[in-house]
Amino acid sequence: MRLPTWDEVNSDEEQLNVLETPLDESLFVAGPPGSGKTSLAVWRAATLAEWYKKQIPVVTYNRMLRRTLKLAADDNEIGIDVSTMQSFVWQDYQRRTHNSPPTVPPDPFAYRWQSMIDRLQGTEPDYNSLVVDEAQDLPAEFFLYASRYVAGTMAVFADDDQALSRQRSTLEQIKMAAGLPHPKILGENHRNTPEIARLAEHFHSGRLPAATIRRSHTGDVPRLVRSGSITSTTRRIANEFQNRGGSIGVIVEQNSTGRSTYESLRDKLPGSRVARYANELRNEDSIDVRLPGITVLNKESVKGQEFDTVFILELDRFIPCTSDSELRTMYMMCSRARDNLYLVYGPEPLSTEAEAALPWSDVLER
Amino acid sequence: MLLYAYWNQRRHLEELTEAFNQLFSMNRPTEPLIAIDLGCGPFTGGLALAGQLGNEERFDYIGVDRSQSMREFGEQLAVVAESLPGTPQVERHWAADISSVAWHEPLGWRPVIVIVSFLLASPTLQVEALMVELEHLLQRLSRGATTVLYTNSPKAGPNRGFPKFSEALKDADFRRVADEIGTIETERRTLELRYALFHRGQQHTLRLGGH
Repeated sequence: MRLPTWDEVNSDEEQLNVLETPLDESLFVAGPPGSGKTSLAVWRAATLAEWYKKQIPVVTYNRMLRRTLKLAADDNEIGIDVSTMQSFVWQDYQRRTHNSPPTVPPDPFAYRWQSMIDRLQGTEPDYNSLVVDEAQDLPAEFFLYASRYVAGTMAVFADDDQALSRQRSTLEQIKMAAGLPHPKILGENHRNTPEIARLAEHFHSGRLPAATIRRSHTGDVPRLVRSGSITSTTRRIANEFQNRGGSIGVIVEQNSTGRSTYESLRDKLPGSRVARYANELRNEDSIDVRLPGITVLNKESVKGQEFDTVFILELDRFIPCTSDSELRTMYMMCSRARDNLYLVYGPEPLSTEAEAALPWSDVLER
Repeated sequence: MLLYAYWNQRRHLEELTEAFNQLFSMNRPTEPLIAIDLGCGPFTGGLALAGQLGNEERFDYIGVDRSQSMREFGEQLAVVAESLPGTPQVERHWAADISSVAWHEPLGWRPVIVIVSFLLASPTLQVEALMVELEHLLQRLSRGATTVLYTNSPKAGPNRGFPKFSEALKDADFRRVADEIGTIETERRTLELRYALFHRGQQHTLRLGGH
């Protein structure tokens, strides 16, 4: 008898193509870092807009992500209408009721979802579809609101293994609130080198499978660096920029460190692009993190971004990870780097616990 | 025990070698395989697979056998095989039963091949329990494409568990690619056997609990 060959056995293997999901159906996609969620979100929005011949709103978590989505769309000459969830809901509610959304003081963005949902009862969705990126960091109530009053169908992109915010939602909560099908998992990582992905995986605490790494080994293993002062840290960053160029992201825990790092880098690299983004500066539209140069930002703002090289400063404030939320932070931050990654601490040595939280030197070079 | 292993091993080895030879005659997996050998004996499936994949490939081998001496003998054979030229790098994991398999890699997408060779011939084997444990193990290892390779004697008796086995695989979304009784030519002789192959593609849909 002739036995089947590997190709015959695998002939039924379907390529996962989430964009082939019919346009009048909802779509739920879960994908690890580097799997292309944001690009897919942009394409889905563009395809839907063309099909319905109407603008399809795209909603994301923060303003830096809104900027990233816009830049990705501009690159492909796609016109999309992106908002943060907070401003989208504010405007949507205001337009429908001629009132501002009720909030829980003192936070002007802590919406009273239940009373808003009750108030809109009986009204119909305005849009054909809604696209949501970084959905894991949005509250579950938003998905209830959106599925009832914003759009008939939704395309939702999420990774709850990277969720940071307090109001975050699990995939189950999103699915239930928005009435979505089971999520499709994206399985390939096109961003990180295998060396970087391996370090990120060390901090991975969630349930999505580790993606298949599509990039080749470079031999550049992430490095653990002790630095005596901000000046010596910025000297190293400036050297890296002068030697390799490209886009560099510098992630800090404290805004004060961000400020002094930024000032020191700006002095060292006159004439080069050195920027600092902070939520309160509201300067996202003047920054393009993809261009050669350095961007200093905090963990919240670095979500969904990517750089050729990443420096994570104040490592001693991020490890040891004592909760899943701290692990998710490390996992998300490490996977921002495409080619090179440095974890920087000092001037004090790492605590025994922090040291123990790090992988062996084949994964993180000392 | 060792004598038994040696005589049986020889036939099983030839048979599986030919099965893998035909399976990988045109193409090979693009990612490193994970091979699970149920009732593995002394590294039989591992040797056959290593012989066909060649030294450019590497794979993980999970050998499950109740008999400790068989697992130890398997490890000895594996060490010898490793020193021969043209043998791939094989990471070996031995376990007395499926539920005690130690696996430290994160869940990923690597292709899996499950070797079920002459296992169902055992009259005490509980097919349903085996399938539950196997599915459990697969969920820990990989969401990648999974191929189940079944070989057995062509006689009816040793195959009595096959209908249940086949049904359980179908319920777990496996497709039956082949199921035949026939002969295969090995380098030394003609062997009669029952051969079946089942396949399940990558599991892209994450089934969430609740609604």
